[in-house]
Amino acid sequence: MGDRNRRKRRHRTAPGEFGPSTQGPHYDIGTAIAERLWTTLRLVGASMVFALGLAIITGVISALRQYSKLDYTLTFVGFLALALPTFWFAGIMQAAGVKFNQLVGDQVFATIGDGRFRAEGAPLWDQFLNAFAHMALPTIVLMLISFASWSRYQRTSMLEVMNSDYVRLARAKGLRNHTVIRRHALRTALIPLTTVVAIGVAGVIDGAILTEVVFQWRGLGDFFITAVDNNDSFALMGWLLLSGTIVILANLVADLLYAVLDPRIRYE
Amino acid sequence: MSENGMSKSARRDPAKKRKRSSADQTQLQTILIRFTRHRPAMISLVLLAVIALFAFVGPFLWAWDHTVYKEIPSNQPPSGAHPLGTSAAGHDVLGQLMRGAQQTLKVAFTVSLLSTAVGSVWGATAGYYGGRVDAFMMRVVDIFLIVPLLVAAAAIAGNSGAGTSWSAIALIISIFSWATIARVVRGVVLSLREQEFVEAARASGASAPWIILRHLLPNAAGPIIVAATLLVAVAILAEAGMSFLGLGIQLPDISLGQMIGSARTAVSTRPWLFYPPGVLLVLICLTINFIGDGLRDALDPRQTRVRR
Repeated sequence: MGDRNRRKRRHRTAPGEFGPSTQGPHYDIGTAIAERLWTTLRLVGASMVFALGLAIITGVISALRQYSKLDYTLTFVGFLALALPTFWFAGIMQAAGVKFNQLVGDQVFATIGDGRFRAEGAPLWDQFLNAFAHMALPTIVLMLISFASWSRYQRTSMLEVMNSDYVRLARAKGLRNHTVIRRHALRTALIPLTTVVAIGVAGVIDGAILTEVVFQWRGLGDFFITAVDNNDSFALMGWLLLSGTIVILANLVADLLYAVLDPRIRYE
Repeated sequence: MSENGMSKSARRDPAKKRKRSSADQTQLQTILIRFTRHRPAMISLVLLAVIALFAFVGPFLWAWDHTVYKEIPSNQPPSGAHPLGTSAAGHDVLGQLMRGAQQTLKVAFTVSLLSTAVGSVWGATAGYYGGRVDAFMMRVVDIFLIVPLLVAAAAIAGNSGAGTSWSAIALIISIFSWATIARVVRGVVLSLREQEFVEAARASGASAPWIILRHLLPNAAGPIIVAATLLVAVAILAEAGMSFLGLGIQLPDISLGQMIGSARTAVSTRPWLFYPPGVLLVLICLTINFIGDGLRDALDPRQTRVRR
């Protein structure tokens, strides 16, 4: 049987050898991925944190002021953001960034490149400024896409919880409004969002690719495009393996978070 | 969502049909009235119809189609002869826009139909049988769910070289989007299968396929319709993303994403190339999302508040 052969191959994948690339013998897929991983992870992480924070805040506000003007406005903004094609919005933000730079007469936003190597060895503050200038616009773009659907979920689940008996009980006990919302309602209302966010990681990775292309970053998005253009199947497999792992890890974290958020769930 | 399915099935239960007819509205009428009162959804429906007319009838009425003509001067800003300007190669942008919208809509609705057909049968089968069958079928669904849609579709389209015709693109996107529908339908069916009418059907000797197709799926129609509508928007954005990357619909054919992709470097110099396809994409997605929202409100039996 070819069993032994297969085992050999699996053994070689483990330490990071993804197979021969069509982009020449010097192109090692493992090193290429490792080199670019941080660039992309930085963008994905930052935009997810901001999107999550903003989604929870606006979702809760929308739910507490249901059917108010503010709620309608936030809902419409959410719908609009949901309908925006990432790459189109990225193009607009890029053009706006260029306009802004011209207006101020200074390079506030870097609209091209990830700027990883520009500030190497510079003082820490300069490195931070450099990273901020390069990351600000792509992060906003990527953030808005996931923010839209997450804030909708947060609003729905918050509404459901606010109408539940235990929130009424908490109020009846005479707890302060603030305590009821934060400790009783919000904590439970975060559970559905955890699931949605974990699944949404796949969507954020999609968006990251498009954003990286527009802003010409040399991250995993660029790696993916080059691999497709070169018909580099092994590189694509390595890429998919990585993104699959990230999504599964996110789902694992979500499962563990359930137990933290919901006192009824316990993993023995 | 499960309670939603339950109460609807109770209403549609043939045994209770006689009782219901005494009311002055049938269920369908109630749904229709609710939907027509949902103002954003109705406006969106009209707008979407206009866009569809523009995309499918427009090319017959407008002088230029989406291909290159020697007579068209290149890089002209909007003018009387070319209301949306012309491209560098000598395309009429309005003609391109019509064709692009047409391809986009064709891909999106095909994806929605295909994925819904496959996904709902898959999900209903898993939910109905339960146990090991369910576990296996849902693991397959999970595999499709963890792969980023755009990435997987683009990789296949790029690697197989199939990324040229709209039907191939639609098929590829469908492969990676039916799983969401399967998940929704399974959830609904899990609660439906415990109901008396399913037991009654089983007792009267109905086969499993019959129960799934004639009893379970019709009763899960509400959530399925909503999910299918929202999938249209997802498919549009996926197709646009693929075409933007150059891995979707290829020249000489055109799609909205591809138009944006080729105008990427001309945002401030030739804005007439960049903004119209984007605005049209946003409009289509926006209207579809609002229609989905309206359908969800109309089909949800728990919803009692009449929307103004």
